[in-house]
Amino acid sequence: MEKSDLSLRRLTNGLTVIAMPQADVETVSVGLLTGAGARLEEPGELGSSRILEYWIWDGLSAELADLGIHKKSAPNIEWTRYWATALAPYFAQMLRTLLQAVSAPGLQERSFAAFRSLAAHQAAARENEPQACTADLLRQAMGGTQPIARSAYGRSDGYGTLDPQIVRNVYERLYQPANCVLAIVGNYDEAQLDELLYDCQEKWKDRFSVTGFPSALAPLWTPGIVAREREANQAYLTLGIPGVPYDDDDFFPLAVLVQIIGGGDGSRLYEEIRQRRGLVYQIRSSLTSFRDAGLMTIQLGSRKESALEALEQIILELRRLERDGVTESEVQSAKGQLIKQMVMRSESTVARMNTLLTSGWYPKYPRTLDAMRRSIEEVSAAAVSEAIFRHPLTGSLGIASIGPLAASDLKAGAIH
Amino acid sequence: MEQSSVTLPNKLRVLLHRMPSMATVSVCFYILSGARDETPKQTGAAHLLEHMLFRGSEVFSEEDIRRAMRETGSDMNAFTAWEGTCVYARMLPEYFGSLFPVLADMVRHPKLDAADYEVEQSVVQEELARQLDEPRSVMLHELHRISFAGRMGGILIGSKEQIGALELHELRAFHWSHYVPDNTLVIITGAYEEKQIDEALASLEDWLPGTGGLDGGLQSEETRQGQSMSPLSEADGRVSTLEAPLFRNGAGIWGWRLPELQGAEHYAAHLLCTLLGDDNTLGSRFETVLVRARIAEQANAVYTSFTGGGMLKIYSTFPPGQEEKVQDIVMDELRRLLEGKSDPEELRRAKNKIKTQLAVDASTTDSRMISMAQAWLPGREMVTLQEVLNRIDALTERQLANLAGRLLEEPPFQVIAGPPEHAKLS
Repeated sequence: MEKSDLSLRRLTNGLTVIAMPQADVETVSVGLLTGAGARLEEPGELGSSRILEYWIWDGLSAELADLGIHKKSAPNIEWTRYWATALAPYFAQMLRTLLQAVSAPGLQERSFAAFRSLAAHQAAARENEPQACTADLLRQAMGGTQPIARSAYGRSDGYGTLDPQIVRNVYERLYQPANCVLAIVGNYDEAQLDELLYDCQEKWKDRFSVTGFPSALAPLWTPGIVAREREANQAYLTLGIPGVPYDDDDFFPLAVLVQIIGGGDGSRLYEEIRQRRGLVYQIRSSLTSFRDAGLMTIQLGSRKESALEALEQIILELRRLERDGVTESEVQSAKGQLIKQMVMRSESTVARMNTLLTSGWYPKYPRTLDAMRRSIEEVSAAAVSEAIFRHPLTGSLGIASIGPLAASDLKAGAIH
Repeated sequence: MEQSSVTLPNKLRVLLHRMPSMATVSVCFYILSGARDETPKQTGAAHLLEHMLFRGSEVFSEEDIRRAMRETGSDMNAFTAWEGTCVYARMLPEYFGSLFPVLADMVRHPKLDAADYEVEQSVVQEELARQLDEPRSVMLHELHRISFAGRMGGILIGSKEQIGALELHELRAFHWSHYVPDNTLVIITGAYEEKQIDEALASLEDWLPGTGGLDGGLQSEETRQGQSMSPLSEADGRVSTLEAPLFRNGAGIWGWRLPELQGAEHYAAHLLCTLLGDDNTLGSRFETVLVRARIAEQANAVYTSFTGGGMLKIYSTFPPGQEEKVQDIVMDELRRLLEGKSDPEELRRAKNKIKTQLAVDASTTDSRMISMAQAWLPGREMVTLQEVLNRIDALTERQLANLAGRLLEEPPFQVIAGPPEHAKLS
């Protein structure tokens, strides 16, 4: 299925590098994932990873801008990833700049306030996105005071206590090469890559041994309902069901289950809640996994007069699944969709590169398209039903809402 | 890369870009009519009709359509704009032959069943509710209200009352008038075989040109041109301030109406936006004078072309009370452009950004398809990727200065959102 050769290597400084050459494209995408996120911050450091996301580029942005490159980044509670795509001739300059940003950033005091302000305002802007906020609220409701319950974006009013040294300490601790993955997909020069990687391993050394997650025990999810009431035209809901980490044997059966539940057109919730009843414009289920935990989520937005009916129908559908399981044809259909969509997404060097970053960070995540296809194809209806048995869908349910509904409304809807 | 165009005997225009190394094929039916072309009784019809296309057609039931998408793993979607409606699908090449007839029948012969219609109206009401919760959408609606007369002064998908009052026969009327081959552009990109294209186009040859189309007394190009772009009365005002509990930061949209741009001017408008700061603000003026200066958190410029004119918009979010400062700085930047005061490298950088983005767009079949539509629309002619790159390269500082001068001729329309509490940093 995959036309190109994929190489995996670990440099002497611990950096994992995954590269996939594609000679027939005009662009190349590079990405770097570092294990810096809210889960890995100490209580007095919360938000530092977000500031670093911008601060490490201070002084280097112009180099990328000159090439017309659009750099992007995305935070997660246990990593931050950076990536960019350029025309092939600019590969070396793009990669050199990225490596310099993460391995030897200036982190100058004079520019700290501007980037702290930017991170705080991004957190505030996210608070304008109620659907995204409900996902954070859900993890708070189900995760309590555990680090896994933190928001990847931090609290907009929490950045004031951070100073440059606190954030630099986080950089020193978490931006270690052994705590990072580098991925390259597209049309690049192998000799240039080798030269840049050699340079990288000579200049970027591990300074500390990387600490693992705060607790040796996997996080525990507890059921909970939380509502942040505010004036809005829709109620934004996220439901959460305890799931599994990436390396769990039930990961792919649950991925297929999530596709069946709400993976778009033809899924159970899409057909019942949107197409038959017209209660939502969008409804979607997802599998969010971390190194030692996971959550299955269902997200929707619905006007106040429709939201509780939508919630009741979702709960009924989940109970139906617990009682009756899934059908063979559903499983085959969901598997087919996942495989074909995976192939289609791989057309983009950016998408392929990001998948390689994920596979480099989560050890059991399939690296090649063939390996991914096999993992999905191996899932049987029995495996999905057994996964439901091991991970009940309604027994530990969490619900978070932002909008015109009260917690008492949600409890009533969930009980029915 | 092989790009070509063809016009069928029924006046259906087709653009093709064969990309043999791609993993997929993308196809779209771009109807050259949108919300702007609705009669008053049809308000909301363009968008609701787009929704209803997925509810089944004469040959394919809704379940047939969903099964086709599921079994092929394809993406199928649509969007409605002021002057166009696009229905598209992306699929693995081996499914083009089976999916193309489905898409074509959805567009040509939607079932438009009454029972489905009521449910879909409810779905669209949910979509509107969501839009009304998004600060940027609310501000955009308001900008249109104060800067356009007629239909374009309303909400693109219609208001709650308009959606509720819209009758199904108005959708049929809109379809009958506008979903005709002489008002449609088909674009196919990706790893298709020529034989597949021949078969697909042959299947469209019996699609009759509009008998009740644009000549049928409905909105013609001239009517579209004369109506919605007419100036507003002074009483409507150019500034609107919104206060809403959802707005956590200050935000503003400034909009300039422009006359119809010709040829290179159209590209100059996009280059101007990139230079000021569009989605990729890296190294842009806004990044330097607004974001790094801590006056605004973000600022983006975008140009949208309409028949008879267009609009250049700048959207920004900022701490409370900074709106005047943001506007002053934006106007200063336009004056600097008019006066030719710019870093010579700026133009090169902005051009590089656009060229990189075009190359990235050409790396997936669906984004290439959309790029081709965007390049075709202004002049209604195919513009190859290389030609677009050449036109970008040929742009000069003087052309940008001329455009900046036009923007400075009149003050912009403004929508400013008032924030409630805002986090203060120590």
